[in-house]
Formats: sequence, structure tokens, C-alpha cells
Amino acid sequence: MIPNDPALSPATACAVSAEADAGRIFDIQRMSIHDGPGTRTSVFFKGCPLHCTWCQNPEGISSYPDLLVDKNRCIGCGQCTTVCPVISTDDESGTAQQCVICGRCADVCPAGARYLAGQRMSVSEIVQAVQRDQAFYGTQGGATFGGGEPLWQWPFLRDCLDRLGELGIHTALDTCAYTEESVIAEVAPRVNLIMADLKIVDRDKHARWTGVSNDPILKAIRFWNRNCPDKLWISLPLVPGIHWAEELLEVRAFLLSLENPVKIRLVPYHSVGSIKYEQLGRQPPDFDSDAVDYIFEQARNALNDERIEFLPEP
Amino acid sequence: MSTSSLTQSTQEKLHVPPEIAQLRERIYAYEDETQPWRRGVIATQVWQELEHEPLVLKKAEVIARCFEQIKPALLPEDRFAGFVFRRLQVHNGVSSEDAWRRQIKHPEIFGYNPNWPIPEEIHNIFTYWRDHPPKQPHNPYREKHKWLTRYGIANPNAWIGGHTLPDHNILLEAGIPGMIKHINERLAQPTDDCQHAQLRAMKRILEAMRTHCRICVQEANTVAIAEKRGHLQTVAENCAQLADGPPQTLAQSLQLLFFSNCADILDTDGDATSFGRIDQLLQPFYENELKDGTITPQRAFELICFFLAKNWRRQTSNNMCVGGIRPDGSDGTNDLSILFLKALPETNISCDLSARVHGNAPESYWESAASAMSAGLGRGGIYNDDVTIPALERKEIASADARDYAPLGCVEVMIPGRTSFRTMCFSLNPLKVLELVINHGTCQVTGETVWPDIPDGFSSFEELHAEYRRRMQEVVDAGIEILHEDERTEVQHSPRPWLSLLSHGGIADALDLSAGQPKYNPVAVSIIGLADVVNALYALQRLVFHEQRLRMEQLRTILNHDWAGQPTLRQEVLNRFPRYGQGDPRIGALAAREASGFAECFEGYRTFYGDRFWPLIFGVTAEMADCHEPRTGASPAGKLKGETLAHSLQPSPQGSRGCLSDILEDNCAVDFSEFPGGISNVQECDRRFITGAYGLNRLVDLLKGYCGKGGMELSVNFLSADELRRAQQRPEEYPNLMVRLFGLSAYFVSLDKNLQEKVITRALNMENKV
Repeated sequence: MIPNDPALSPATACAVSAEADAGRIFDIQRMSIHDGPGTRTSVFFKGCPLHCTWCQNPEGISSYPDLLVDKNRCIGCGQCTTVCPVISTDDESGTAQQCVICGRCADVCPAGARYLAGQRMSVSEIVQAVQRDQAFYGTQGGATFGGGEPLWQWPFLRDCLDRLGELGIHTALDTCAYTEESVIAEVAPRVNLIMADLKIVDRDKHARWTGVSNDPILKAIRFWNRNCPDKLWISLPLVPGIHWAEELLEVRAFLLSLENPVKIRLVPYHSVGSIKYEQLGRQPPDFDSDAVDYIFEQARNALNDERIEFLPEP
Repeated sequence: MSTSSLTQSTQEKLHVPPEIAQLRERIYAYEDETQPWRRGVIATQVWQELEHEPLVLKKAEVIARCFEQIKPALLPEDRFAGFVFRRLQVHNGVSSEDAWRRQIKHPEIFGYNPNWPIPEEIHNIFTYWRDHPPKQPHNPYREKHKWLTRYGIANPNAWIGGHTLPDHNILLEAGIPGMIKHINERLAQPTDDCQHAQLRAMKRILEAMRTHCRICVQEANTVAIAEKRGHLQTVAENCAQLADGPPQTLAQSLQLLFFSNCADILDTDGDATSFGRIDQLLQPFYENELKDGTITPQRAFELICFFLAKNWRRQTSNNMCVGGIRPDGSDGTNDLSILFLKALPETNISCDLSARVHGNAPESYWESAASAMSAGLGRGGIYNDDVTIPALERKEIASADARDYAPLGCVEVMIPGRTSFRTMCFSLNPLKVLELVINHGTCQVTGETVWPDIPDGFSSFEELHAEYRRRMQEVVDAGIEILHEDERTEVQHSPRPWLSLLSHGGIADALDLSAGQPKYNPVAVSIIGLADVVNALYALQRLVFHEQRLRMEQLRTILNHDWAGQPTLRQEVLNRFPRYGQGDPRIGALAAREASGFAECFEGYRTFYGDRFWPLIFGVTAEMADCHEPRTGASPAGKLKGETLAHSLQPSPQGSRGCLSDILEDNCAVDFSEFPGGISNVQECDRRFITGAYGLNRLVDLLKGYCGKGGMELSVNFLSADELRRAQQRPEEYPNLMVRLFGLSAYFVSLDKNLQEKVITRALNMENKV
């Protein structure tokens, strides 16, 4: 069984998922331009220990498959009703209450309106997918593992990183950093770049908005900052209503408490993920996008220090 | 390979002269535009006065009188003098707004049109053409094989009118007086009447060009005094030098190059007058000045900025090419290669600047080429020497000549001064051939039967495919009869005295370029809608033969009803079948096979002048695929009757597509060494790909990756559908938004509405899917 309980400790989660002989992947995006330097292939791992309220990849949270339905593409042909015992003509363009997410409706949908997020993939399949665009990576591009949370499936990720390392392909990790200490140490030499989220510094507030404590996260960031500072980019989400001045001062204090100077990326909230919530039949988060520019400026000012380097948009 | 001619100073910050801003405003307001009807009036007079003279002399006389009688354009900020036709329509059908300007410039071809917006007294002159309408060239084989165009199967036409790339270096080396001397020497030798007329024609243009230089001297001096502009005295001195001898400096060589291009523009009703390898042409002059200490890279950069401004046009298809391998095999990248590439984005003035690249090109050159492409200011693209040169060698082009190739106009590959080139000469629509084969020889659109002997059914896909190939060969066999006759008669209706002068051996042979004078006389034959036929063949094979979900007659019925009543199956084919542009190796293999099959159809043939056919992959033509007049019916791949075919190497407009690397992967499945004629490869990409800290590097990596996979030519549009839509709604706010089309670049707001919609659709297709 793949765990999806935020109450589980990082150690338990990794131990359980280590039993998996293949990874659970919900998307692979080639020619990706926002997930690290150069042109990249982004591999999105299914399942995340955090439940961030503002999550832009809601289909990546659960470790189980999810069914997404794009109502705009549905042509009302009824093909899905012929293979599904629970779907009816009435909810053809939606998801039935009793849906067990078997994915058969997605298999037969001629318009591509139904999509099953969460395929089992082997290491070789991942490597093959990444290699498809190797000619376009140049010296900076490569593969980025994100999610969901890639460290949630550490043994599988480790094998992917090792294989890509042997092939000389640049690898980046886009992580929430909620993992156990052994993994923190083990991942560092295997990857070329770690992009670690620092979501909220206040412990209680972090638990309230993400569902878990940030102790392991802060520990991981301190470790990577001490042991491989050049490999570490820290990503700061800026969410209206959550990241106000007080929070930014705490972030500043934490960053300046680190052993080495840091490179940070400001990642303002955007509502582009809302459509995925709708396709999953869930209520999208409601944050005020208009306030983003203001917070961004606040963050620039609050974090202005010679030990903090702002990275430009990739 | 040597890159020693690339100096470090080109890597330093270069400064655009402040006057460029003012000059740009003036040229965008067409303050200096040479009225195209001025040339038309002179042509009318010449045709009346020299009615019985050989055509080559009439054409030369028109150019000559234009040089003698039309005032050269010279703005106070200019560094170069000469005519500027800024609003000539590029390619039929792209924009109707400026169509009249091209027609009125060449009434001897287009005849009279009472709707031309010109003063009545000028109209009165042109009414001559109402009474003496131009005779259109007659080709009996076109009549014999009119079924080819009637059903939209192919459009064989070996008379392109203007697509020939001269070697301007012939003029730059000898200078105007030197060329006149050569002609006089040749005239002193025995000649027949035709040769004598040819030489007289060439000489007439040169003498008038010399006069024009002196007129420019006067004009420059006059404006210099009136406007108190000292630099115009230098313009006068440069023109004075050109009247008396060959150019000595970079500025003088640019000025003579401009005059030479003017002669080409005055002679052709076409739109592809091009410069060739401009950095190689100018390098000796620049190097000499560097040695003498009379020029710096910054000063050269400034001259290039002014030269771009002088050449700016509203729609362009006038290629300049930089970089690439020299005839001796060394790398030709030089300071001027970089300076031209930098001038384009720095001045924000559009022109068709192309960059030849190869595996050993310097890194700074790749970056400059990528930077120029990302500026989106012209149709120019990158050309991969590592594929293009072997492709030419495969067609028996000598290696030194192959290495000296340059693109002309849109994308056609030529050897400057050594080719008389007929291009876009077939427009074979393989999807239409397949339609007829599926539909037992009957056209879906007209219901008329073209091939009554096609069987009703086929026992296997291979049998069907063999029949399709036989019919494609039949189309080619018929089309070649038309091409040969077009080639044979071209000299009778379209001699090219100026281009013949700039063809190696042109003076010695005293023979017109259009009569087979150059070393090579290829004909480039084009295929259109490659993605459409590949998708259709795959869907047909799967539905009827592999999965046997439909019998052939059922598929035929579905297509004859334009997919009516079959939305589910059509959606499945569009969305779930692999298609060209998704990087599926099965489709790539099909594309490679179909492209090769087309090229093979011409292997057994030679052109009228005994040369090779050069296959070419090109965009669609209005006659073949425009939805205004449907020619191609519904396809097994889900295309409806009249829906547009795929542009050149783009995916089909219908159905889903992959990311840009998928599309390039499928592009490169084709063996481009079979397509020396060029490939017109324009693709779309989300603008965000080139923004941010890594944007330029990403584009460099993309271009290198494409070339490494065997890509030949590529240009990328970085468009935003939102921005295009805003430009459509508020054109006054987007006067300079440039888009690359299949064979040219144009201001988006100048395009017809339906073409604007197609560009927006292309941008939407690639949005959020780099």
C-alpha cells in the first residue's frame, strides 16, 4: 500500500514506498522552461506528504490515481457510459460519485476529455522519456523531478538519478524537503540541483496550511546549505493571505541563520491550477491573485541582504 | 576551422546611432518611398517607343531610364542613396492592401487596372495597357494537363519570375566602369544578333547606373547643404567614387550593393531580390579599412544599422545571409556576420537575415543568431551547412560551389551567380492523390472522375500504397512536360539582363541567364501538406487494413459525406491516433518514406537544360489549399473538406500535436539531403521559451539540437495568441508586430483577416506547450 497520510513520519513514508518496484508518475512535461535552468523534462511524482492549501498540482497530492475530466472537450458521445457501470449519461461530462478511478473511461474517450493521472512507470521508462529531448538540453538543461513529492518515492527516484547521472544528464530535484535524514544526505551527491521549497517558517502556521510540521524541512535545508550550498536553490511561495510581512521577517531570519549564503527564487501564487481542481471535481483554492505583485515587492524588500541572492526567472 | 577573422571587439557593447530612431520614424511613415508607378510610367513609354526592339533591350531600357529619371530617395539621416520601394506586396494572396503597387510597377506583365489609386493624368498613361493587354506566356502542355490544377493535384510552373540569386561580388570587384570595360571588350569580339542585344542591354543598365551615381552625388550635396548634414557629403563622395571606379571602403561597397539590388528590383515583378552572403561580399572592404585604421567595428555596425533602415520594407522576402563555410572549407564567420546579426535586434528594424550554421561555428555566433531569431524581425532562419552542402553535392554541385550557397527570398537554396533557379515549381498535393485513389479516381469536391481505371478496393494497404505511388508518378510525368516547356520559353518572355550580368560567364557568353547560361540550371519541385498525407495514410492503414474497423467503401462514404454523422470516430482519429508532430517513430518513418517517395519521382528526369530537379518542401499555395476555394476533400485523418493543409513541415492544423521537440523530431525523420531546394520550416513556440535568464541559451540549445538531428532550415515564431488578438482588434497599437509566414515575413496588421486567424490558431496550438 502506498501511504498518503500526512500524519505519517517521513521515515515511515520512505520505508513503505521503498517496497514499490516502479514509480507512480502523474505527468511528464517535455520542453519545460520553469523547472530549473535551460530546457528540461519535468517528471511529476504522484503523492505528497503535504497538503498545501494553494497547491497548483492537486492531482499530484494523492498517491492513488486521479481522474481528470475536461468538460470543454467532452462531445457527449457516450463512449464512457458503455465501459463504466456507475457513470450515467447525466454525469458523462463529470465524475460519478461511486467512481473507483479504474481509468477505463479515459481509455475509450475519443475526444481525450478524460485523463487518468498516476501511471506506474519503470526506471527505464523514465530514463527513456528524459532521453527523448537530450539533444535539446545543451549544457544547462536536463531532467527535473517534481510532483507531488519525488522524495516520497525515494528508492525509485534514487535509481532514476543514478541512471541519468551515468548518462551525463543534468538532474534537478523540485522538493518540499519533507523527508528523513538519511535521504537528505543520500540525495545530495546524486543530483545536480536541489530546488527546495521553504513554504512557511512558523511551525504551527506551517502545520495549519500544509498539514505537517516543518521540522524535517528546515533540517533538510540546513543540511544542504551546509554540505552543498552551490547545489541549493530555495523556493519561496508567496501566497496572498499567508505570506505577509511578519512571515517574511521570519523567512529572512531563517535564511540569515544558515551557515552559507543562499540563492532564492520567489514563486508568486497564480491561479492557473484552478482548472485542475475543476477537472478533479474539487473546489479550487480562493486566494487574491491581485495582491501577488504587492507581496512580491514586499518580499524583495524584506529579504534584501548580501547573503541572499535572488535568482531570476529561469 | 579558422575563426581568426572574428575580432574580440564584436563582443563588446555596440551602440546604435541615435539618428536611427528618427530615421525609423520617417521610413515607417514612408516619407522617402519611391512611387512604384514611376517605374510603370517609364515601362509604358519604353514599350511604346521601342515596340520592335528585342525584349531584353526593352527591359534594360526601363531599368536604365529609371536610374536616369527617377529621383533617388535620400533622407537627412541616411547614409545611403537610392530608390526604396517600401510597400510592394510579397507573394500573391498575402495581403491585398498593397497589391496595386506591385501591379502598377510592372504594367507590361499585369496590364491595366482602372481601380489603381493614382491621379487621373497618370491613369491616362497606363490606359495604353488597356488597349494593348500584355500577352501571357502560352504553354500548350498546361492546357493538356489542366486536370492537375483543376482538381488541386499539383500546380507545375517553372516560371517563377525573379527567384535568382546573383553574385553581387562580380560588380563589387570590377566596379561599374570596370564592368562596362569588360562588355566593350566582349563587343569587340564576334557576336550574333542575340548576343549583341544582350551585351547592349547589360551595358545600357551599367551606363545608366553610373549616371545615377552622379545624380546621387548632386542630391546628396543638395540635401547636405539644405539640412546642414555633413555626413551626406560622404554619401556624395561615395557615389562619386562608384561612378569612376570600384568601391574602396565598406560604405562604398554597401552603397554599390544597394544600387545592384535596386536594378534587380526594377527588373523583377517578383519579390525575392536578395543579397546572398552579404558578410562574405563585404569582408574584404572591411578588412582593408581595419588594416588602414579607417574603420572600427562600432563604425561598421553603424553603417549596417543605416543599411538595414535603407532596406526596410513593410513585407519582406529579400534575404541577406551571414556565416557558414567558405568555398575552401574553412569557417567564414567574421566580424560582419556578428555585426549584422546584432544590428537586427538592436535597431528593431525588420529584414530577412539568415544565418548559416555548422558544427564548428563559434559559440558567440550561435548566440547572435539565436538573439536575432528571437527578435522576430524577419523571415530569415538558420541554415545547417552540415546538411545543406551534402544535399547540393548529391545533385552534382561542385563542393566549392555547394559551400558557397545562400538562401534567396524565402528559403530557396541557390549558388549565387551560378544558378538560374526555377522554384516552387510543382506544389504537388499528395493528399489529393490519395483522395483520388481511395475514391476510385473521383474528386470528392467536384464529383468528376479523374482516373476511371482505379480499382474499387485493395486487398492490402501495400497494394493501395503502390497504386498511390503509381499515380503520383503519373502526376509528375505530366507536370514535367509543363515544366520543360516553361523552361524552354522563359527567355522569350522574361530575359534578365541585370542578373545575367552578375552570373559568372554572363558577359563572356553574352547569353541570358534565363536561356540556360549559368553553370547550374536546376528546377526546384515542391511538395505540400506532408503532415496531412502522412496522417491520412496512417489512419487509413489502421482503420481499414490493420484493425479492419471499416471497409474501404464505408470509409469512402464517410469521406464523401465530410465525416457527417461520425463525430465519435472523427474525434478518435484526431485525438487518439498518432499524428505528425507528436514524435511518434511510426509516423516519423512514414514521413521519411513519403518525402523520399516524392523525391524519387524526379530522379529519372533532367531539366530542360539538362540539370537536376531539386526537391523542395514548401508551404501551401492559395490555389491548392485555401478554405475560400476547397480543392482537397475530407481525409481519413479527420480533416474536413476545405480545411487548410499543413504549412510546410508544420503539423496539420487539425487534431492534437506534441511539443516543439516532438515536431522537430518528426521534421528530422525526413532525409533532408534529398531536398537541396530548401524546406521552409517555420514553427511556433510560446514566447516564454526565450524569456528569462536562460531564454537565449535555451534557443541556442534548441537550434543546435535540431541541427544535430539532421535539421536543415528553421525559423521560429515566438507568438502570443493574446497579443495577436489584441493586435487584430487594435491595429493602431501594434504597427510593428512582425510574424513569419511560410515564405516571408510581414506585419501582422497588414495581413488579410483570414490569414490573421490562421496565425492566431497556430499560436494557440503551441501556447503552454513549448
